[in-house]
Amino acid sequence: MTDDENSAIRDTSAPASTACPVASLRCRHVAAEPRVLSDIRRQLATWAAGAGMRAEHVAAVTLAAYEAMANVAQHAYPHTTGHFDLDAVHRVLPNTATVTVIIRDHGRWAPPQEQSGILHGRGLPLIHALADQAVISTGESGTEIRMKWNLPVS
Amino acid sequence: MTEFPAVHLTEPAVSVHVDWVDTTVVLTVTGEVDILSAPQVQEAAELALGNRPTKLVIDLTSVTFLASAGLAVLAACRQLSGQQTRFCVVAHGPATSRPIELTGLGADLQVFPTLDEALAN
Repeated sequence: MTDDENSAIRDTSAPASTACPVASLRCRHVAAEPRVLSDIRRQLATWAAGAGMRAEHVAAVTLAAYEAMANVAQHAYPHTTGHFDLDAVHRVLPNTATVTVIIRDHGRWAPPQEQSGILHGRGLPLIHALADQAVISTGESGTEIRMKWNLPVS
Repeated sequence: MTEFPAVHLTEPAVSVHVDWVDTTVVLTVTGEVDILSAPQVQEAAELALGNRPTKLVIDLTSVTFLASAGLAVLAACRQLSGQQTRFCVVAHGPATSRPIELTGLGADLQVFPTLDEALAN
């Protein structure tokens, strides 16, 4: 554990969310291409910092969202470039705040075993480990990855 | 439905600096290791391993983002190092050591918080 992480845990008065919700980040019809994913990730990091999240939360949200987007690029559209939508929503309640990131694609996921083994397959476990709650649902029209974080608010 | 407008297509945001000291090679990685840039790190590591170092250190101190594509590179380096090369990783903080630990990869790698410790061990 780093000194920064230690001090963040000790300093319980430090807010991890602004008292007022920030406007949602909504990205529509994003091309599932590596270069675009990097750009969206940086925008999400800026948005999360704007919502008052601590550095370790910003890192968790951006990495989990990136892995979700990378899964879309690799599994939903293995042979073509597809598109997805991303929504990041900040909610502030009396004693707590939440950040929810939702990524929806319209492709059909390739079976995960194609990418499994020692060198691959860490994306989905990372999403589940990083988010307080992660739900992946697949329907006729595509796949939705919904990730949620609970944040203390001052 | 509109096309997402503000997309800036950026170049791979990583640089890899290679330093040899005797038979030890240190790869200092700076920037973001994602799907786009991970192959660049892997290529540098494979080139270095081709010269049969006794120790390979990948220093992630200046890495601000480490995706699973980067974790896969570390796992590949561990495999490629085999018995003849000692493979060490320098990682510290939420951007690098956290994903390494969360995925359980930390159990298979020798991870040190500083380069000095990786070189001394």
